[in-house]
Amino acid sequence: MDAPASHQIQSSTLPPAQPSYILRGHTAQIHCVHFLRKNLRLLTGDADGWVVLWNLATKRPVAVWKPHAGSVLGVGSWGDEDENVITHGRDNKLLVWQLREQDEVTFSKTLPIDDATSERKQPWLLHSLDVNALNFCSFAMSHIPPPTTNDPPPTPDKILLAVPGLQDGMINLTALPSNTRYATIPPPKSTNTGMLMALSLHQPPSSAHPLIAAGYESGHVALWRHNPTTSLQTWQTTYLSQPHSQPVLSIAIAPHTACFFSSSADAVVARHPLPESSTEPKSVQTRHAGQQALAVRSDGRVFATAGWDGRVRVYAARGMGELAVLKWHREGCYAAAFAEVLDEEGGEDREKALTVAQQRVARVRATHWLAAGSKDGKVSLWDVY
Amino acid sequence: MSNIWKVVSHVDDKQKDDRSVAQLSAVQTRNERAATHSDITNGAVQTGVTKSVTKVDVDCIKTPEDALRLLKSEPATDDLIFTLRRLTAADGFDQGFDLRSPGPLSAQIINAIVSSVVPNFWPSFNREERFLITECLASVAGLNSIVARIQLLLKQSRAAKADDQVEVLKTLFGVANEICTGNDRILRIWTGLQASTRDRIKRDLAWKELANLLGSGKISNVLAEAEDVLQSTGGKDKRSIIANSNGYAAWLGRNIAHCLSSITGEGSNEVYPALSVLLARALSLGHPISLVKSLHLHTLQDSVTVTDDSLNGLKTLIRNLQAFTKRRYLDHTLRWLSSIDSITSGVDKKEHGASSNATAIAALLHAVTNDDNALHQHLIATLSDAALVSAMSLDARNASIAVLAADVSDELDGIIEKGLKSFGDQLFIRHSPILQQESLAQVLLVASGYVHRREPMALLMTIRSSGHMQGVSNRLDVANPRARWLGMVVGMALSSLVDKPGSKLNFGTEDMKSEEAKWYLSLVNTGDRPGTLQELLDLVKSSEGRPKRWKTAQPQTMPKINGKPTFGPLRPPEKRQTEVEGARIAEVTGTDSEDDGLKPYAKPDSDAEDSEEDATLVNRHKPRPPVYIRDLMAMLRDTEKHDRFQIGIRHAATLIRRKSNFGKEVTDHAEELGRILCGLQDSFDTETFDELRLQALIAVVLSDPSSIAPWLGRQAFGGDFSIAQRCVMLTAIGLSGRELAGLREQDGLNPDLPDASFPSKQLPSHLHAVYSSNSSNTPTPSNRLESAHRTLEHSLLQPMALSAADKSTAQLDAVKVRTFSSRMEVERTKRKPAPNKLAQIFAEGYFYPLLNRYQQEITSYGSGSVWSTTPFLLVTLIKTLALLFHASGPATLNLAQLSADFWDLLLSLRIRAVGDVTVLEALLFALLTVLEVNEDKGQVAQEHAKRLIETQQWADLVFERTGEGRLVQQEGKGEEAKVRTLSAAVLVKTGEVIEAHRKMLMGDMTDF
Repeated sequence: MDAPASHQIQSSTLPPAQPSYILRGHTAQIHCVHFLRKNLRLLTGDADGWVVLWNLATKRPVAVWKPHAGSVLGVGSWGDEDENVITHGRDNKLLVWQLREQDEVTFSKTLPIDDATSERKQPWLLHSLDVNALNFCSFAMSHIPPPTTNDPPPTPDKILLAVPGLQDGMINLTALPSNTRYATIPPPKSTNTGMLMALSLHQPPSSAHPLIAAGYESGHVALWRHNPTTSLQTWQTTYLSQPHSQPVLSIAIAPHTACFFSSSADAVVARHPLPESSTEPKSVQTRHAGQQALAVRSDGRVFATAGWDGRVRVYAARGMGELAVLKWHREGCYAAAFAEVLDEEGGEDREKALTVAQQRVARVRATHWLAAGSKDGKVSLWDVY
Repeated sequence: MSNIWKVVSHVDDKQKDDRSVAQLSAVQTRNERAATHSDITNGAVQTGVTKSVTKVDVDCIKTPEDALRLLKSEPATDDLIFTLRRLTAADGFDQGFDLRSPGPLSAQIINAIVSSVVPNFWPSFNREERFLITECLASVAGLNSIVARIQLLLKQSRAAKADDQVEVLKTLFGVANEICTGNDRILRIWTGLQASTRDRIKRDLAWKELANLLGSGKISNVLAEAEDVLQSTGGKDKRSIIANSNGYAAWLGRNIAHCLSSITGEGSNEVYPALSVLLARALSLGHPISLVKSLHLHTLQDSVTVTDDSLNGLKTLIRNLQAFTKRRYLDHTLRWLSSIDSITSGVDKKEHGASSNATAIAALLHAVTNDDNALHQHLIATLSDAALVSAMSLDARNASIAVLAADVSDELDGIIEKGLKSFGDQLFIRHSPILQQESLAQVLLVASGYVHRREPMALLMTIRSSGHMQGVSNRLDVANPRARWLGMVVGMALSSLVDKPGSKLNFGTEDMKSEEAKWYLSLVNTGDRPGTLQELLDLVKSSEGRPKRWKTAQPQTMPKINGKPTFGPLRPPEKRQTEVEGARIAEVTGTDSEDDGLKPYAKPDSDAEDSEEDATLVNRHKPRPPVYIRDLMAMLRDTEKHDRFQIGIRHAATLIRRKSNFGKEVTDHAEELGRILCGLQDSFDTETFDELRLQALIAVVLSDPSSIAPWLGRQAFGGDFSIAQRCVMLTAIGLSGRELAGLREQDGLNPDLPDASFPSKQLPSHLHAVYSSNSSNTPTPSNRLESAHRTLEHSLLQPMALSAADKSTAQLDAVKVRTFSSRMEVERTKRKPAPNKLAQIFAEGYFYPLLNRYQQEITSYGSGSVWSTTPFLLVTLIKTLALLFHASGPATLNLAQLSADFWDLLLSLRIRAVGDVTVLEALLFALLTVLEVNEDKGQVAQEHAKRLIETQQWADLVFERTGEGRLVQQEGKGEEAKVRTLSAAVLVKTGEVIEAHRKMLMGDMTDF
């Protein structure tokens, strides 16, 4: 793409974006949103401890339960069909539930907005981890690469979970399903960074060990990786910078562009390079303080921030230019997530053969959703880029 | 009692874990004391160090004596609980011993509990265990013992401030509070006494003691003193209900009501005399209204919800009261009922004639006075006394008449006869306040209506025989137009009842066709029947629910205006300007080429950037100045957000003024706004809060003076306002009246409001501050009134002083150029005749509401009223009236009548002026105003001859008295000098009037 052409495009803009759908179901502020099962389901968690699994084809809830007594800090999923759901709550528990698609019919579909008191059926509990931290930092997850043998292993997928440790700034890595401690990472030595605020894990294909990006209370951002020179399980900081004047609120690794982004309680959104990449560090003064959540789309082209001013902003990942300001919520937004961008092989042909319901499913799959959760308990779905 | 067993055993189970620790310490102390202990107990109680021995110890308690011994010997926790349980159980001991029965042994046990158990164990006990202790102490002896103990401690703590004493005091205070809560305490003491003591004389004695303790308020007094001591030592900050005499009276009322509803059937004939003793004592406690209120409300609630017995109980109780107490009881009940009504009916009381209120009130009156002759007689006596009648509300009056008509309809004739007699009495017409005359007229008309419907002939006889016609003609002779008018109305209304269609009395004048006259004429049709008690409950609920409803109106319903225009065209999307920040790592400029060809969306309609660089200072919910009255009200009610409230109060006055002629926003909410402003608390320490509130209040009054000014006047007398708040209301009335009279610019008392125009015409605030130079130091509201008064006083005195100076220097006429020019100066600065709107509505809107409420207050509460105990309030009232009177000026409608009433009020206050120099000063000032405003001197001398002479004599007296004092030595300084000047001015004025009159009589022939 040459510069003059793009400049021309820049000057003509699309009309202001409007949300496609609003999911009303929670009574408390939404703390986390997560797409799973190839964009067919959306998982949302709120400050009262409720979790709702939405069917995105019908936009209806398929499972509602209350895994935590405190607010839900993060949700995730893992497995072949994303049948294992992870929830992390302020009650110091990280729980892994088995929630298969065929079991969905057995769960309650009564939303917390209709009835927030009665008990619901809970999915089958697979793992329960104690997270001995008092902060608001959510867990991060990555897959452990299978042993480098030629044939794919029949054993189930293994994952690595990063959670804040007992002491301020410490990170614990636990492997599942073996439930073994993989590593314990101390806070950066050189400076006092305060509490751990945000975590992101990435498994580079070339390495056996993950990369860990961490944001701290002091506004520091650090990148950790396994020290290959020593045989012991030691970890080293490859990158440490303080782009923010306020605590970091969210951090996200974008492997496609070989960088990671961080947002904080101040108005700065910063980009940092991954090791051995040429991406230069960069920071943008957005003049909108309080960017609670930052999410990078799976293709790495755009990322979005959910801000306390009630706007979700979409930025281009490479240039960090502001592309869209999504305004619908009147209260601050606390969570944002992108749907996975799936390659559409032969979509046209197949759609013709399908029934209406299947066409709808295919359409939902292919849509580039952006979900934003707000303090008002509503989740907005946007179709952008 | 078995319940207690269960509860405590349950508690024991729960506490098993904790117990071992307590056990350990208890055992240790026991060990140390072992020797002495065994001496005392004579070996009967084994002393030991192990738990098993402790058990034996407890098991040994067979008799109350054993229990006493154990209590005295610092027992372990579970021993103590065990013993207490035994003591409170009905069959705890074999010999039929009962702690609740008075006797030497129980007194000792109670004493032991109060003096040693409570201080040691109470703070560490939980609810159930505390309940055991209160159960032991909830008897006559127990209460006595606690009170005596607290008194002793108070005495000690006053002598020497010992901290440990304060702790014990706090504990005992807690125990007493615990005992004196709940509505069934007296009932339980009573039943306990009945169950435990066989001997009737003993029971009566004990009960008398209790009535003495509770009814005299001794317990409340002692507790209040204890609370004071605790607060002064910082030991306690929560207020106790019992220590507050108002709450205490309400508690007593609730308890008596509970007894009434619970004790029925056998044994109840003994309870009524007992309760009547208590009620009689309690009525003299000092808060009888809260007592009768809670007594009645609880009885009603019980009788409506549960059973009718409680109401019968109340009736029996009242029948058991002594005659004098009965009358007092009825008086207080009537006053309470009047107070309900005055809350519910708002401005338009007369128009709506809330007769449902009257039937509801009549229901209760009917119930309590039912078939009791003494009460009926007292009701009749009350209704026949004009002064008492004027203190009752209209509905209470109507209800009383309805009750009498239903029960003893013959007696109404007597009321009418007596009423007509005093109504037509010359002395009454001339000398009683108009309010009393109005009330009496209303009673007469309503009562005649009842009699007429029952027996037309009887009414005819009464009217013909009682010199009614003479009375009416007496009234027609009177100079006072209001009194005359009342006579005409009553005459017409009665004539419409008894006379044949052709011969009906009809004056046919214009003022007989007013709304008010119609209302009076329709009074004879009033026919209320006693309603149901449920109606009264609803009425009380609505009258009490109302203020709450105002409070709970949520400020959240405000529309979000922050960052969102609510009307007007969409703003074009603004171009975001790219910031150039020097020190940043990298810039966003020139990123176009890297944006992956993604086409950006346009900005939404608003995307405000943060105003602050520092993220910690960003505030996204900045309050905007209120645009609507409802916004303003929501903002004023806000007690959470500081800046919202401040913006609200700051813009209140201008917004109200702006909106008062714009739509109905202000008129619809004027009363509510006024109420908010009157009761507004400054929880945020706002600068010039008083001034802002005053200005807002003035604006509210000015939005509709003829209805809001009287309303505010009523508020100033009613309600639970502080003295300062009442003063602010009076000041607002006074200053709004002046503004109405066009006196606004002249004195600069009302500062220029910053922006009465729409805000769009105004410079941005920082520029406005630069260009507008009116940064005046604003005085406080009461100073405001004070300075208005001073200016006026000066302007009244100055011409007199000048002319006096003129005369005394007659020989220097040649060099009086300066004086002449200065008088020109005075002429020039005299105010231009602005349209005086005040003159038209002064009487109905300002003067009479204040005057009538004042008189009503004084008749109702006498020397107990805050208006007679606080000279400052009275002074403010007089000065307000005088200022208004002056502002209203000679053009005032109905000036003669107003002057007469005002003058009478002032003369009646002479006695109050004796004690307080500020009142004296205000009185003299007001008199001077009256003389000044009445320009026609001849008329004054003719119509107010007696008042004039009285005033002159009194002013003379004041002048002489102050002349004797030494304080007047320094001319022009001190209060006394001012009083002297004022009294001299009054003397001069009266002299002028008299001289003018004399000239008129003599013609200009003589050279006086």
